[in-house]
Amino acid sequence: MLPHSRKRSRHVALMVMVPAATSLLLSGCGPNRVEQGVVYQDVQECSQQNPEATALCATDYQEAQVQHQNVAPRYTTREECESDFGTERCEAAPQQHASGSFFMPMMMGYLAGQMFSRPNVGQSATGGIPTQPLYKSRDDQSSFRTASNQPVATGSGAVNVRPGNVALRPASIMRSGGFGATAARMAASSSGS
Amino acid sequence: MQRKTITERRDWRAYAESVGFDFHTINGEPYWDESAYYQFSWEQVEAQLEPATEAVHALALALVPEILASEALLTQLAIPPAFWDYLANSWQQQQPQLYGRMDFSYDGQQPPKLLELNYDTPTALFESGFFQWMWLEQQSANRQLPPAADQFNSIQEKLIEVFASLALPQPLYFTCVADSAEDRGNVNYLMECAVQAGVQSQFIGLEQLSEAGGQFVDVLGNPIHALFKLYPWEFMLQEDFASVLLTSHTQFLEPPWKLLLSNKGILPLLWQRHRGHPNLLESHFDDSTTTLPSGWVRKPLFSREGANIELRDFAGVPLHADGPYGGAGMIRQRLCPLPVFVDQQRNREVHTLIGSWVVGGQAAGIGIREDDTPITRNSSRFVPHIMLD
Repeated sequence: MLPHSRKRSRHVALMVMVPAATSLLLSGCGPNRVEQGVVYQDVQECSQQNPEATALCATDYQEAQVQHQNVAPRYTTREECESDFGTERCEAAPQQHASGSFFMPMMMGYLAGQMFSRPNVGQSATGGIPTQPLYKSRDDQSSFRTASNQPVATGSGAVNVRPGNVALRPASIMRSGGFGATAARMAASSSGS
Repeated sequence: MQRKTITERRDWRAYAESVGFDFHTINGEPYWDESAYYQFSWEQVEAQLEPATEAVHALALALVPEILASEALLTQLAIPPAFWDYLANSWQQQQPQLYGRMDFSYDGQQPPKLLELNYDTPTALFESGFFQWMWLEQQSANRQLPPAADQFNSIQEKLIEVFASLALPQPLYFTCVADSAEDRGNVNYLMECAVQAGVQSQFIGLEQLSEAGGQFVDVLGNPIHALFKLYPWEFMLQEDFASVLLTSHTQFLEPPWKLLLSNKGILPLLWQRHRGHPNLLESHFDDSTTTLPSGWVRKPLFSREGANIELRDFAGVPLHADGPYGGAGMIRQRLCPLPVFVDQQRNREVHTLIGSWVVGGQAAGIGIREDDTPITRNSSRFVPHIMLD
C-alpha cells in the first residue's frame, strides 16, 4: 500500500480565542510617535507670545478657521448642539446641502501644528500635525478638544500629541442603525446555514 | 463509510467551554455528539468527496458571469434590480471569496449528490475546522483511535493561508447578529484565523454599523474599508441601510456576487447546463401551485438550515419543515434520500448529511450532521469523522 498524504491540518491551535471576546485588535506598527504643537485661545495670544512670528500666527489662525468650517461636528438642531457644548456656544454651520441647515459648536481655541516644525521661510513644513480648531464641551470646560472629541490640552501652551489622535476628518452627519432588522423580525436563532 | 460507537472524552464539555464552544448543547439537546464517529476510506475522500467538491465549485463559479450578464436570469433568481450593477461590479473587480460549504447526500458508494450550496453564510466552521481536529488528536492519544487514523480536514490551515493572501484593507471588521451564540462562535473563530494570519481584526455588531458621507463607519466614525459579515446578502439588500452599499467603498467577505451562489435557483441552472452530471440532481424552477410529485423536494430560492422545505418520499408520504422563508420563488429537486445509519446507543435510525468545505477554491474538509428526520436542521447533531483504510 502506498503511504497516504496527510489530509488534515499539520498543526491547529487557538491563540487568542476567548469566550465573549469583543475585540482582537492587534496593534500594528501604528503612528505611536509624538509630535509637538501649541494650543492658543486666539491669534492675539499667539502674537503676544511670539512677537517675532506674528505672520505665522495669523496664517495658523486662518487655517484653523477654515478647518473649523470643514471639521466641526454637525447637529440637526441648535438644542442638540448646545446640550453638548453649552448655551450660546453654537452657531449655524455653512450650508453644504440643499436639504436643511445644521449647527456646530463655536471654535474656542486652536492647535498650531507648525510653530515648532516650520523650517526656514520659503520652505514648507515637513511631518508635524495639522493645524486645527479646538472646542470645549459643556460638561468639561477645562479641556480643549478636537472636532473628533479628543482632549489635547487643559490650557494654552505647548503640547505633545500623537498625529493619529489629531487627524482631520470631514464633518459629517453620522447615521446609525446598521443591519439586522430581517433576522430580528424572523426571530432566527442564527443567520448562518 | 461506517458509523462507529466510541467512548466520549471524559471532560470534553469543560474543554469545549474553555475554547468558547458554548453552543455544544442547544436547548438541552446535544449538538456536538462524540458518542460515535464516521469512518471513510481514502478512496471515498480522494476519489469521491474531494473531486466532487472541486468539480461542483468550478461549475458554480462558471455560472456567475453568465447570470450577471442576463436580466432574465437575475430576475428568475429574484435579485433586486437596484443591486444588479453592484453585484456585477464586485465580480468584475474580482473581489475575492473566502469560503463556502456544499451539502451532499453521500452513502459511501454512489457519487455524492449536491443538495445545495451554502456559499454566503456557511456555519459549523469551528466544529469542522478546530474541534473535530482536536477530538481526533485527543482520542488518538487516548488510544481510542488507531494511530493511522487521519481526517479530511485542513480547514483551519487553509483559512489562515487565504486570510494571509487576501491583501484586504486593515483593520478587517467582522460582524454578525451579536446575540446569537452560534453565529458569534463562528465569527470568533474566523477572527482567530485572521489574527493568526497577521490581519488586524475587530468585531462590530450589525446594528452598530453606521454611515457618514456615504461610507460605512464604526461608532467612532472610523471608515470601514473591509468587512466580513455573517449575515445573508438577501437580508442586507432589503433593509434600510442597503442604500449605503451603493456608495460605500467597503470591500465585503463574502463578496456581493456570492449572493447568486447561495440562491437555490443555482440548482436548476446547473442542471440545465450539465444534465446528467454525476454530482447533480435533476432540478427545475417550480411555480409551487401544483402538488409535489412523489420523489421530489421543494425549496424556496432563499432559505437556510432546512427551513420551509417540502419533501414527498417515493411512497408519496409528505414531510414539511416549517420556517420563516418563502415568497421569492421555489425550486424542486429530485429526492436523493440521506443515507440511514443506526445509532446503537440510542437505538434509533439517523439520517446523515455531509457538509463539504471549500476554502480559497480548494476542497478543505468535511463536517457531518445527523438528524432523526430526513431533513437536517439547525439543531442536527455534529458528529466527527476519521479516515482509515
